[in-house]
Amino acid sequence: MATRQQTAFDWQVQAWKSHWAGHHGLILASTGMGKTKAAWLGPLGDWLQDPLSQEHWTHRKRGPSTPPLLALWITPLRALASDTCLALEDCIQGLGVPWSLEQRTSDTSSSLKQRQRQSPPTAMVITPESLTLMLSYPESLETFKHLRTVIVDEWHELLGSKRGIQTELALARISRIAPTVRRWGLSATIGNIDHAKYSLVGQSASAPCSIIRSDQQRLIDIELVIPQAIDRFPWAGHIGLVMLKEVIAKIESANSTLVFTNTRNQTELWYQAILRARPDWAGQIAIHHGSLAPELRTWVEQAIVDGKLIAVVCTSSLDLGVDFAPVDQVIQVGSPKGTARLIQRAGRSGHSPGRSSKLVFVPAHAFEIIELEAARQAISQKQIEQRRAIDAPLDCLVQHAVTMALAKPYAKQEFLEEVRSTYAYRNLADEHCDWVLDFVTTGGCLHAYKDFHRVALDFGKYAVIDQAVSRRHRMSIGTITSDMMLQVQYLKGGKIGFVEESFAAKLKEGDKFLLGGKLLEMVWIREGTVWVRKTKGDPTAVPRWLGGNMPLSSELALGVRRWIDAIARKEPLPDSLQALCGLMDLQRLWSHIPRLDEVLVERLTNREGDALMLYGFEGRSVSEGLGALLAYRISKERKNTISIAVNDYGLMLYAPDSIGIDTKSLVHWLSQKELQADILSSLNATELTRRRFRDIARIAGLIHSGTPGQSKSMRHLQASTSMVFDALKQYDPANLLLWQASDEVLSDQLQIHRLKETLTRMEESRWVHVDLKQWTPFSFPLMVERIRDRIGNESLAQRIRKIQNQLEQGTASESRSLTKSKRSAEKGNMQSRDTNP
Amino acid sequence: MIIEHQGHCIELFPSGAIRWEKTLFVADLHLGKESVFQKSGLAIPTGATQKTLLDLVGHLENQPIDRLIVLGDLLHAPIGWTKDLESMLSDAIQARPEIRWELVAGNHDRRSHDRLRALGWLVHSDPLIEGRWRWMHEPPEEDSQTIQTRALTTLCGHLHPSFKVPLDTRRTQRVRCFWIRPNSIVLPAFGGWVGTHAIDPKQSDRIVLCVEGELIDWKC
Repeated sequence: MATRQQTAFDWQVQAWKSHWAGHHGLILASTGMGKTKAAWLGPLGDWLQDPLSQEHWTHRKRGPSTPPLLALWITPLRALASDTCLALEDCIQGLGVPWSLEQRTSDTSSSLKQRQRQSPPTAMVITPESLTLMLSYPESLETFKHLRTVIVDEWHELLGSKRGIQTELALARISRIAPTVRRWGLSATIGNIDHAKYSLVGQSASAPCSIIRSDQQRLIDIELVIPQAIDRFPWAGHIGLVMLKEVIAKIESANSTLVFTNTRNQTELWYQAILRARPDWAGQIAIHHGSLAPELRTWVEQAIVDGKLIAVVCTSSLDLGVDFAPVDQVIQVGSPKGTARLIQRAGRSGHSPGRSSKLVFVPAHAFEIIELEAARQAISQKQIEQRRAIDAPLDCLVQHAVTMALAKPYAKQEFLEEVRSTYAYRNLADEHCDWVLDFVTTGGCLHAYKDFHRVALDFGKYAVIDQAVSRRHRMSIGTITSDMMLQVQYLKGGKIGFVEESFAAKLKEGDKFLLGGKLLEMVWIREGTVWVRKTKGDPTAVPRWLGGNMPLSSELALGVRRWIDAIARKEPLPDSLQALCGLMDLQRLWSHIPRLDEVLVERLTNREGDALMLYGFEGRSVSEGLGALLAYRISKERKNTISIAVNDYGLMLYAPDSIGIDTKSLVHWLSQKELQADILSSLNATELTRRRFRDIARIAGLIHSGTPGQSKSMRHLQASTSMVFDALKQYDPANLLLWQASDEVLSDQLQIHRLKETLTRMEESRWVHVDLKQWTPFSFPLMVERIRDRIGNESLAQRIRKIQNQLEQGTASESRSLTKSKRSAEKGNMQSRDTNP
Repeated sequence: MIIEHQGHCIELFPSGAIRWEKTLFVADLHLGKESVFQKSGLAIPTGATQKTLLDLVGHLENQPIDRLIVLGDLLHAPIGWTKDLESMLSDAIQARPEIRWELVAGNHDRRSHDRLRALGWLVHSDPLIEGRWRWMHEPPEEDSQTIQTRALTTLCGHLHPSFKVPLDTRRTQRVRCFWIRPNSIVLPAFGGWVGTHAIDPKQSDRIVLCVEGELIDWKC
């Protein structure tokens, strides 16, 4: 780094001192503040004070003999490993300690991996997956014996994920091998520090845990770019490319800018638009997202570090990663949907101590200005989102039970103690532990798994005997699961990136789509690769990647409700919100602006149909849950077909004739009685659970994930997770992994805890019912975003017959009515525009 | 559902079986598949094998059948052969000694021919040609057809055909189906725990969907 800081900050010294006192610790600081040194000089200083006598040193085949493995640096990002190694090596050289340092990730060559198992370096930079893999070898008991420190980088990234659970389990194992090991974590600021601390040091920490905070606050300078004339109706769906001119002007004003968008598609669109407006920037701007070829991504990252680029359009793929010193501005297009994410992204600029971060916010629609104000307020009040903990997931435990049996046969009590020492499994029930151990030995359900032996119970100890089982298990260690992706490659060679299999399946020869900022024409799909050539013109297909829609966090949602309350009360507003006044006046005039203790229900009945809008302002997933629940309960009694549309603010129920209920009775339809059962049936829970089960089946080792070079002899072991799901449901319905899948659907996907809170809040609120004459600023985005998700109770056979009838009658009438409704929707929009003076 | 195909009168069943006169045809049972998985350390519960066999026996009881022809892949793999499977198979055969149990061997039946013969199965290593019929496992390749074979009607399996029925503009649902082509019929897999392969039929083909115990004719 060019600006090498020589004198240590107080908080860094504090970290070292507590390390040397034998404490565990959690360091909270944003990137670029000197976190690495704060953590790393702990073990190095420790060595200077108390070196290990030479007799314990490892004799290495290559190079001089060095101290045995003393320190581990766990990084969640493989891409970060090399960069981290450089920074750590710098300190080792600087202090002149005789340590060897190596990295170990899935990219490490197998010969080096082998050597590391037998004669490990003194310090290792490692990913959680590689660590677990190392722990699965019997040698690990010897290798980790002298270990003094484990440091986990980006702990906030691992928290609340199954990778975090995997790390907790690995740490528990390490502490059993080396009981005095100190655990240190590095984290960005998060809402629930206690949870972060306990997950790190475990349930029964051997030593006190210090919380170290960097005293310097990184200042965030947020600028809002508002369009000159706010459209009366916030448009939905289309991100505001309208703001292109302003964005380009901002890019011009800085040396180097990161432009964050929320989805990969928007990244592609913005990159194209900027390039079209400024063709002279070709070669100086770049694109970065998770579906691009790793070579391309690495190239872009290096070019940013070297200061070669004026701008990079990117997604969360650049949220984390190496220091981008040259970046001095971040542009966020569209709401980041969470305060932590906003801070993280802003922190990618001004990346050195003492400099402030500069963030320019470009709202995608008018209401996002409120979201930004809410985030701004949350930052100043230090209300950062919490990371919800996952409670004792059994799939991870199944994997762990096999991994540990590979390393060393264990007795049940030993296993239980070790697992319960983690925070995640502190309350693991005896019967669940029994089930997991039974499941890996006998399948858990005696008559159903006669020929099953993964782990054998041998004189009271669990062990893996079958070599093939151990080989396969090691291949599938980890909790990162991904859907089938197809490589996209030029005919001449040169890899561009990946598209999802489902998208590739729909591509026809000659279809054009954007990827990596290039317009590509599909030539053919062969050998799992989409072969393309460059082309000109307009795209005919848009790749779809899963995981685009982040719901508004509950902290931010509350902030939004507070601002809306302020607007309703006509309190003095910040400048940015002044811009919304016209829009809000209209809402007030045509309907109502709900206060904090009110719930707004709007209804619009015309010859197009009957629409009912309910605003919970609680984020997309809650809206979805509420919508599905209402539609399900109503259609069960009224036998009608209801469509649902949702966004972060509310939901719309829609029926071509009549929804058939009185708005005043909504409270009754939203009762919390039998909530769980109803919500599960309403959302076609089997389908959701089946999808969720994919990851669980992979983690628990129920399927053999094929590897590219797999031999033919493995083919008869291929089964889709969906088939496994069916087999379990039919022949082992009590299997706990099925329950886990449905629990995860409820808590993660549907966020049932938030749904319950929202329902309780609604019960206690005053309900305001308004019959509309035209679409309001609140309801219009819902009308536009209408998803036609029909809730009905026909059987599949009935449905197919119906579809077939429709097809046979010809699609003509359907398309006619579609264009008609589209046209009238546009017309409705126009009319309401006209009525405004 | 009774259909006429190239002058043959045959009956299709939602289970995936076909009856012609007194002969019943099924394909791709993949018996013992769960055991194959279990022996390889994958915890898949048993049950599908037994159910598949019961379904088959049920067919034989309800129809006037004197000959059963399995169009390949009766078993999933040699290591899936267990005592349980052996006794289930022999019980089935002993219960109906008057029926001729025949197998046109498929790729998955390799190395299991002798075991099956020992139980009383008639195992054919090559396609069977009888009258205007040809019975085989893998569908014939179009290019390899000769004038003689073109005149025959082929019944085969191997593909596990399914059709992606469009539920609405965004979603499709895979449904097992008979794939009826100008001179061949591909049977859906009869096995209870097998995957399917989505086919891309031509205009001249006909598809019969097997869904929830019903058969639905689908015009391509």
